[in-house]
Amino acid sequence: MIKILFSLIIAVLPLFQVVGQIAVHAGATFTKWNCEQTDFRSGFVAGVAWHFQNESSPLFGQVNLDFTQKGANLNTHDEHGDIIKMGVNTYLVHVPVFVGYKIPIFNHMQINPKVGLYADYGLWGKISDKGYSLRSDILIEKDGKNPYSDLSQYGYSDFSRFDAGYNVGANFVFPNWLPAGDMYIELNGFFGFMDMYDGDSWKLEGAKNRSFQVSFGFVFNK
Amino acid sequence: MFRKFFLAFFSAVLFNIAGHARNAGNQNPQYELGKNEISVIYGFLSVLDFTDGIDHHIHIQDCESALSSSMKRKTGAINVEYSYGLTPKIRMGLMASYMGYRHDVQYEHKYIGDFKSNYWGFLPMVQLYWFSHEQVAMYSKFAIGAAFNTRDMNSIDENTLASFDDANVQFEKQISPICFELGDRFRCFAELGFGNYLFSAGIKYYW
Repeated sequence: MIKILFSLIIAVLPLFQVVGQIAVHAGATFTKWNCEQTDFRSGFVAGVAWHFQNESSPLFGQVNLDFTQKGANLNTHDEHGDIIKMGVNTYLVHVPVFVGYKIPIFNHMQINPKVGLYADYGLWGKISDKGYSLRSDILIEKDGKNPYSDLSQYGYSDFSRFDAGYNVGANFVFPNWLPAGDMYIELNGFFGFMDMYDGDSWKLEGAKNRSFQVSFGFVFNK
Repeated sequence: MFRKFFLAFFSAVLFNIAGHARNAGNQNPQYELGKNEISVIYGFLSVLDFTDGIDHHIHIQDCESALSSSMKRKTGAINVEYSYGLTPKIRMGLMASYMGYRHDVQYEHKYIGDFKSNYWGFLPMVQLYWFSHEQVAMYSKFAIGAAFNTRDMNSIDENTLASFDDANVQFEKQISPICFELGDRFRCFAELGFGNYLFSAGIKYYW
C-alpha cells in the first residue's frame, strides 16, 4: 500500500506547477428531481471557468462559477387526490469543481473526461402552473411565488437553497480554433446529495436534483 | 503483489507517458467544403416525446385532472436545410421543419376524441465546423426561430371537453453540439442535440 501511495504522490506532484487559463461558457440545462412525479425542465447556464493544468501532465482541473437555472415540471396530487401540474424554476449560483484527463483524438481535438463535486446556492425562484386541480385553489395562490421563501405562508415547507453533489462530464476541446484560444463543448451531469424539499407535501420527500448540461466555451490561452 | 505492480505501472503510464496530450492536436484542419449545401433530415426522439410541460400546446391542459391524453402517432421532425459557407469554419442558413402529433384524449380512461397538433418551423441557423477533412467533418448547429402551430380537437363528448381549432406562433430552437458527417459531395450525417429532436440523421449535398 505504501508503494502505491508513494507512486501516486510522485505522479501527482507535477500538478502543483500549474498554469491557469480563464474561460467563458454558456449553454442549456435539463433538470428534474429524482422522483416519479417530475419531468425535465429546460434552462440555461452561463459563467466563467478557471482551467488549470501542468504542461507535462495529461491531468487538468476546472472550477466554474456559473449562474444557472434549474427546477422541474412537477406532476403530483393535492390533498384531495387531484393531479397537480406545475413548473418550478430556480436560479442559482453553481460552483462545480472537476478533475479530468486529456485524451487527444484525431490529432486535432481532445476528449477530456472529468469528475468532481459541486455546490449550489439558490438565489430566487418562481413557481408557475396551469391549474389542473379543480377542487384546490392552492395552485393559483402559488403562481409566481418564490419556492425558497413564499411557500411557508401557505403551510408548506420552503425549498432548500443549498445543494451539493457529484458531477461527471467531458470537454470536447478544439485547440487553437480561434487565434485567441481554444473552443470547447462541455457535456455534464450533476447528481445532488441533498434533499430539495424538507416537507411531506406533493410526495417530494427525499427528492434530489438531477441536472444535465450542454455548453460551449472559449479558453483564452494566448 | 501483482495488483500493486499493476497499479503502480498504470499510474506511471497515466501521468507520464501520455503527458504530452495538451500540446497534441494543434492542426485543426479545415478542408474547404462547397459554398452551398442542402440537406434532408429526419429527427428522432423529440424532447416532447418524453417530457411533459415544455410545450403546453401538445399536452392537454386547461382542463380537469380526469382528462388525459396518449400519443397515437408522430411524424417527424422532418427538416430541409440550406446553408452557405461564409468561411471554412462558419456556415449560415435556414432550416424548414415539420412535426405532427396525434393524440387520443380520454376522460376517466374513456376515449372522448382526437387531438391533432402540427408544427411548421422556420429557423435561421449557424453551423460551426470544428474540423473538416476531405471525407469527414465535425460541427455544431444552432438554430433559433419560430414555429406555426395548429391545434385541432375533435371531441365526441362536447359536455366534457369542447372541440376547438386554433393556431399560434411559438418560439422554436434546435441546438446540436455533436454532429458528424461522412462522404464527399454527397454526405451522410448524424446529429445529437435538443430542440425539435434529440437525434437526427440525413443526407446532404455540397456544391
